[in-house]
Amino acid sequence: MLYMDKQVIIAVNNLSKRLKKIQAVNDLSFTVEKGDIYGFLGPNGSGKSTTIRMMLSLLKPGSGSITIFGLPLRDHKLKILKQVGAFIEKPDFYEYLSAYKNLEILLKYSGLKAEKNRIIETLDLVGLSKRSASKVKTFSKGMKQRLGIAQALLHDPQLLVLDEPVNGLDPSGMKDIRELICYLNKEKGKTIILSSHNLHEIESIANRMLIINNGEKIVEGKVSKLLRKHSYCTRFRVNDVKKAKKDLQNGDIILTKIEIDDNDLRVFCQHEEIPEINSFLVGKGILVESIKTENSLEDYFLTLT
Amino acid sequence: MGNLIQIELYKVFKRTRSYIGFIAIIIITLVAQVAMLWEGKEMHSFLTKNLTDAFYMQGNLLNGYLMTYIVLNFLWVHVPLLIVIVTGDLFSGESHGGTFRLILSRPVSRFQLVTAKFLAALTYTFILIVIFVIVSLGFGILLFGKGDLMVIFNTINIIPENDIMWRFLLAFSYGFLGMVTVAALSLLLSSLTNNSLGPILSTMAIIILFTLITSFDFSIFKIIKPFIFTNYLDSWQLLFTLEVNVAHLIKDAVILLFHILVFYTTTLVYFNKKDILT
Repeated sequence: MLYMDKQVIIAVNNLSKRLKKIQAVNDLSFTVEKGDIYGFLGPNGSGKSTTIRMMLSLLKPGSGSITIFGLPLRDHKLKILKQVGAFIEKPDFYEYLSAYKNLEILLKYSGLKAEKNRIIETLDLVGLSKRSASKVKTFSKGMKQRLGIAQALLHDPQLLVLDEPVNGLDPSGMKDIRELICYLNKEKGKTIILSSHNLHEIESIANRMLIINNGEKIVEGKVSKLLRKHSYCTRFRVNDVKKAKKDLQNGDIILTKIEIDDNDLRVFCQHEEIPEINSFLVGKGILVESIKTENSLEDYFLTLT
Repeated sequence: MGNLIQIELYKVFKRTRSYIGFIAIIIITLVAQVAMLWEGKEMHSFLTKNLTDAFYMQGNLLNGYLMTYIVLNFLWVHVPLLIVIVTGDLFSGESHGGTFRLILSRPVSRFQLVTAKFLAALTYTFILIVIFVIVSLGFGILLFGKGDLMVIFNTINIIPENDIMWRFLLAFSYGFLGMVTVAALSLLLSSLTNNSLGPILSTMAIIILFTLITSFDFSIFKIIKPFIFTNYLDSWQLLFTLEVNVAHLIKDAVILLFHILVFYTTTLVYFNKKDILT
């Protein structure tokens, strides 16, 4: 399926799902294009996981359709799932088996031969090859998380669906996994759907994103375009915050919001306005010690949801 | 499909709980036989006291065949529990552990998965019955020797030694069919829940309730008895009459097969529609 000049990998159309009395997903439509790192954002209970589970045939859609690789999921489930690797919410494994045996079993479920090299290489990719023989019940949460990512990569799928993949990882682990996601996308050409609560993560690695709330689409588009429309929160560390705030309020630059936070001045402005504000403050005799942009997507997300 | 059955069996036999049944059946059978060896003669004389007043009994009547028959009678009550400890967890264990997410997000058909689990349960039950045969019949003959089998079932049946073995083999085969029915019921209940203990306890509760209904001769129970599968679990006893009522035995076996089919199909239909939320 081609829309314009881009190949559409996933097309979700008017998808709805009711779980008991709750309308978990309501008339949701979006598309994921080939080569995307597609950020999937929404607060808890917004319907992200329900949508992902429907995309993996774990839940039956109430109405609407899902097309993956140009094929309707309902009719070609097994063919589609051969090319999909998924990590859903939390890493659960057969605790009484080793990491290696877990992957061996999962490889067989994928209809592939349990090649030792492939399993060891995948474990190596997530830094677990030395613990391949250890039973999963001896693993920490972070290690299980890595193993969860390993099982998603195991059968070398074209499409990766990763739901909160860095949860429970230490900062170094988070960095490793983000780098791995970028590597898989850039070098291996994998299309990736990344559901995350870590908004910086989406901002730093996703090229397109969808924000949902109460099961409905709020906004979808390129991350850069969506952020351009939104004011950045920029933190100016200055020697006199009260004077700086007063001067900015009385100045010619039109700003959405100015707040004092200890020694910092939090200014909501467009990205291109930052140098202008800096010059203005310096011109008013205020010493600017540092400038830091923060929480841009988070604020945007909160505004929308 | 063969691949899936292999995986299911691998998972079953990697769990410690799967060996509880094997160990338990060996211990219970051996304990019963040793107890019989210790006090069996007195017990046998007590049970046959009225008969010895009227008949002259010759030969080794307290033999391995009689021991196997006695063990068979009381163990069929306990064997279901040993089976459902394993089979009752085959679906609910995956739901509870969250591993269905891993399996079903792969190219695995739900029909094949249910069938593989059913066949794994069937294999486990078969192995348990084979161990039961070896221990009860093997050790029975080893400890008590051979001889004619005297069974009081409707009337006194004295089955000659050379006419016994095929009856035991068929009795165990029929018993296997009964235990597969229990396993199929536990699989169905296992597919309905997300916790491991529920299906095990509910299968046992159903068996106890049905057995009670089968045991009492109240008129209200007589109406529902034909529809209760436990009513047909002990039909293997028909094999220990001099003239075996083959038609009755086949009819009961077909009813058990029908129950297995109903339990399996219901599991299949339900699981195929089931939303995986764990």
